[in-house]
Amino acid sequence: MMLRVENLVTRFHTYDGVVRALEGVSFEVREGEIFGLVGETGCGKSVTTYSTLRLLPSTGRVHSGRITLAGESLLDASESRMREVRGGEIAMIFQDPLSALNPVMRVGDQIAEAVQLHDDLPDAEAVAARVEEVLGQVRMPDPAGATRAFPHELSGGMQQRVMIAMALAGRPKLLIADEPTTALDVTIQSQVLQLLRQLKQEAGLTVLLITHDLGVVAELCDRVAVMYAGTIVETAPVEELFSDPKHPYTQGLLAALPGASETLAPVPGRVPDLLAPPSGCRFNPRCPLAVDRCREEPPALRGEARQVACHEVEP
Amino acid sequence: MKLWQYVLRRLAFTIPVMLGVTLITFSLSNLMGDPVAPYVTEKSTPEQIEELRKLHNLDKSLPVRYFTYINNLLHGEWGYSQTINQPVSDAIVLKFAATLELSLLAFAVAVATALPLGIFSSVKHNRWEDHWIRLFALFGSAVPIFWFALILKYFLAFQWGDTTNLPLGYRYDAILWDLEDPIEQRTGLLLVDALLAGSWVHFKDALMHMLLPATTLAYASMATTIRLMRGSMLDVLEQDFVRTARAKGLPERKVVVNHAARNAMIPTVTLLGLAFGGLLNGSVLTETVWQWPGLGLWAVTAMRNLDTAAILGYTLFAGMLYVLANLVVDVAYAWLDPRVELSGDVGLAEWVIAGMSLVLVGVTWISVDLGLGLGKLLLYALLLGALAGLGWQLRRDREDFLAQLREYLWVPLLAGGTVLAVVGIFRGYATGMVLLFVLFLLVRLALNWRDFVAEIPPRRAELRRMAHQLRRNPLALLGLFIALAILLVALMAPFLAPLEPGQRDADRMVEHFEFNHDLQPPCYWSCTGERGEADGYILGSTSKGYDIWYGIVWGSRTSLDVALKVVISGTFIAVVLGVISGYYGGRVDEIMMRITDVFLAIPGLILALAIVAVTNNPSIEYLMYALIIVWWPGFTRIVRAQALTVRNLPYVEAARAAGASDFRIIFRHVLPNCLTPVVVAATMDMGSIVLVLAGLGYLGFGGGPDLAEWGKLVGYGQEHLLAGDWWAFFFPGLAIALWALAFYLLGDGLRDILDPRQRE
Repeated sequence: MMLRVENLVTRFHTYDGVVRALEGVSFEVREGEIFGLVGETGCGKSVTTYSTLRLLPSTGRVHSGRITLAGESLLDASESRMREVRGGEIAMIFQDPLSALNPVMRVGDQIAEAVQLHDDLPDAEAVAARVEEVLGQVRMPDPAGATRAFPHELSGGMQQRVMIAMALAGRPKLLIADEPTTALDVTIQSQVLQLLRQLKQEAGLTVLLITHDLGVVAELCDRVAVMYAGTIVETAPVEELFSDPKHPYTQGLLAALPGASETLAPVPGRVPDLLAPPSGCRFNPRCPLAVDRCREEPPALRGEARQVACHEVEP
Repeated sequence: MKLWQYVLRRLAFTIPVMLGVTLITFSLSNLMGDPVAPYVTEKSTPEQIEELRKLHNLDKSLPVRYFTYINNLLHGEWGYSQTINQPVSDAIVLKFAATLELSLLAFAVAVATALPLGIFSSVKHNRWEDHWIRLFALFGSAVPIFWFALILKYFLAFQWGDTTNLPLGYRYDAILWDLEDPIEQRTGLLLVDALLAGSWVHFKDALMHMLLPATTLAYASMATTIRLMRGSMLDVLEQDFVRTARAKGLPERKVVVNHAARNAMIPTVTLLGLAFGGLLNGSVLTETVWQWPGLGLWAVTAMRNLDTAAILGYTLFAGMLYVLANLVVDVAYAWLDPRVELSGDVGLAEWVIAGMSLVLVGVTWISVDLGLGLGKLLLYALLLGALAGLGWQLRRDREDFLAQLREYLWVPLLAGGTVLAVVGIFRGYATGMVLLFVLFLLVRLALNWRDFVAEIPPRRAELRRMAHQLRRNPLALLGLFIALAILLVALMAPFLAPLEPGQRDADRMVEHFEFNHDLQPPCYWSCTGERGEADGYILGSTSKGYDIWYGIVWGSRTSLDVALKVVISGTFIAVVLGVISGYYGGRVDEIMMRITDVFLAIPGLILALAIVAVTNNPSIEYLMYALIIVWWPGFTRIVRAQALTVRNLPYVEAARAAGASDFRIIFRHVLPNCLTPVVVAATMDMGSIVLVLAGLGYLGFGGGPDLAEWGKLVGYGQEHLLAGDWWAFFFPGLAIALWALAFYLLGDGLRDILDPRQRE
């Protein structure tokens, strides 16, 4: 098991009150797979990853739960160990590559920084060679020229390739891709997705892909977890999720896709306010199956290969 | 485009600005009364007077005189300074080295200490380290530089002078340098000269002399730079690439230094030019306190003696220096930020202006008449061109044009209204106008009562949030507290410091010449004699026997009066000009920006000094005119930048797409969204204006010698520093510092409170 997250509870302490961003999130990412974490904006996908890397903003805190990377508990690790983990074992790429790259530093230097942090190379030449190697790995045309460029001189697709190269530089076991295609044009999106698939096949990279785009999930992922308002509602292999969604929210989500039915069928109701989430199951105010028990007791995630968090549905 | 081409281009664009500066100095020379009056005595015959007029070109028309002035400037004839009996150009060359040496040292010290402090402060955001550094920085901006210098002088050089061995003033030990062991002064920079001569004794002597003046000068620039660096660090630390750097596994120290600080440097550097302007302003005051024989001291002497040629020459030179410094900063910026496009998008108009100015300068250099001819030609061409353009547009589509014209009708109306308002404020109708405004608000409130009630609950939540943030911000609370205390003093002035019998004007202090040489020490709490009569002054007296307590109490009214009037009327002007300029952009904006460029090219205090010195009028109104002239351009820039940002925001585009008129867009959308930075800047400027006012007063300018004003009191008080009468300069200076500190703290706090991004 590569990454295992168990009952993660993360809260933000703000002026308006305590935001219960994550309430018992559990999932596991297996070695060599692309695992998708899908959900609407604000459901806690990114908070999950920041909790994993312990990069939450100062208002956020992990209250309870366990996060283990290949058996090692990350929440108990020392800060210096965490720095080795970041980039060295878990690397990350972000939504908007232009703002995620340092605007005044040459691309090559930024990658070299990652190389030097996690690789013991003898001299500057070896570093430069390694930089070109990872740039080649992400199919960067003219890697030597790219190292001398500043981020703003590259196109969006090339910028995201640089981000991925930078992530690969530390030879990580797990790559977390946080909405890697959202800020890109459609044509470039597919190139980047293609690249991620190739990297998985060639380098055996494990990927935790965070997205709100079910299309991307269908195209790329092996297994998927669906998140709703800070909880995981369903986990399934990707084909099964699309062919046989179990949780009412997943069903609603798939039905809401354009082309799923004659008319667009939005999920009724609104996303709950995480300052005062509904008691019991967080989906109960919008759920067609809701019974009294759903309003009192939060459902646990049950099942083996397929997991569902619902009182009314069997996995 | 190469960097050197960029430098050349920028250099070309400074020519029109410098021409504008000469226009200002030329106007200044015409502001004073009859320029020949000082030379006229009872015995002068009309013929002699006529000859004098001819000699000074006064029989010619203004344009001829202006071009003669330019021609003279270009040929290095800057006039003759009577105060030191030397041509102005020679004096500048002679005095410049002293000022340069001091300023450079101060600048280097300031930047080298400020950058690390600013970074550290931002990393410790909202912890106690941050609060202390912020307070240290704000205090540096708030203490009047001359008061700080006097305190250093009193304690370090005078009281403990025996242990510290620090000199009381001047640039070097005259006995050592002139008599005992003269060394060759090749550069005029004494530290460098001493090093070249290899003399440790000389080096040490020069350094000891520089130590305190440089500290004085550095503190203010350091304070500005800390605040800039902290602010831009806080912005940068929020950005995505910092998160990337952390996710890479970089240690926090490297994240901060290599990634955040490097980026935060860019906005800081662009504003370093500002800090350099502050340095020039400060050098005038610092040099006066330490009797440092540089440009500033010479200029002040010249101003006290109405040595016009020297005043104008110095003002012009300061403008040149400042423009040059900003040029260096621009180049540094282009070098630091790879995103800057050196070729940029420079309009054709700008090239034409730069080119024409260059030609004009060149032609005038050759001959006055040629320059005059070309100048007239250009002016007529410009007017004709404008008229032709107008006519062409009228011919093309008359209907459309007239309709457009009607839509713009509110612009001149607004401008007229502004002028009326400003004039009204100065003519003493300020209170009435405020009341009228309140009435207007009340009427509007009554008319829109239902909307208002509907808005109460969300507003209340907003207010609660602000109150919460205020509580978390102890410094802003401190500022609020001090400001309220000072307001209370101003309000209670007649009770705190009653007028003396027979005193007519409360703003004018009464002189008691019997205490001219023997200052009365403070008696603090026990100022009543045995029979209950008033005995002595609560805070002592200064020379001329001014009662310091009285001066401080009534000085608060002067400060309040001047600051409020200048800020309110300046804000009026700036908001109108800034919003029009920023919203319409294009040519209007271009012209407005060039005008502000010219005014901003002269450091504020120096321009205000020159105006006040040249007009030489003891009325407090003139003081306010001078301050407004200095203040409006910067403020217009702030408003304009904000309007420009807002204009391009999607909701304004949406309003325009929905068919809203310009008038409506400006008043409903643009203005309200410009308000936050305007309020913050205006609050801060309540402090800075009093600092400039006090600086003028300290040097003895503005409002007449008996005006109850804090800077003036410090000026009188320092005369007895070497007799150990510290109270005479200490207390009034403290009042200035507290005032400025209060408004800086308030402004700083307001920025945090009003900034929606601060919500956590």
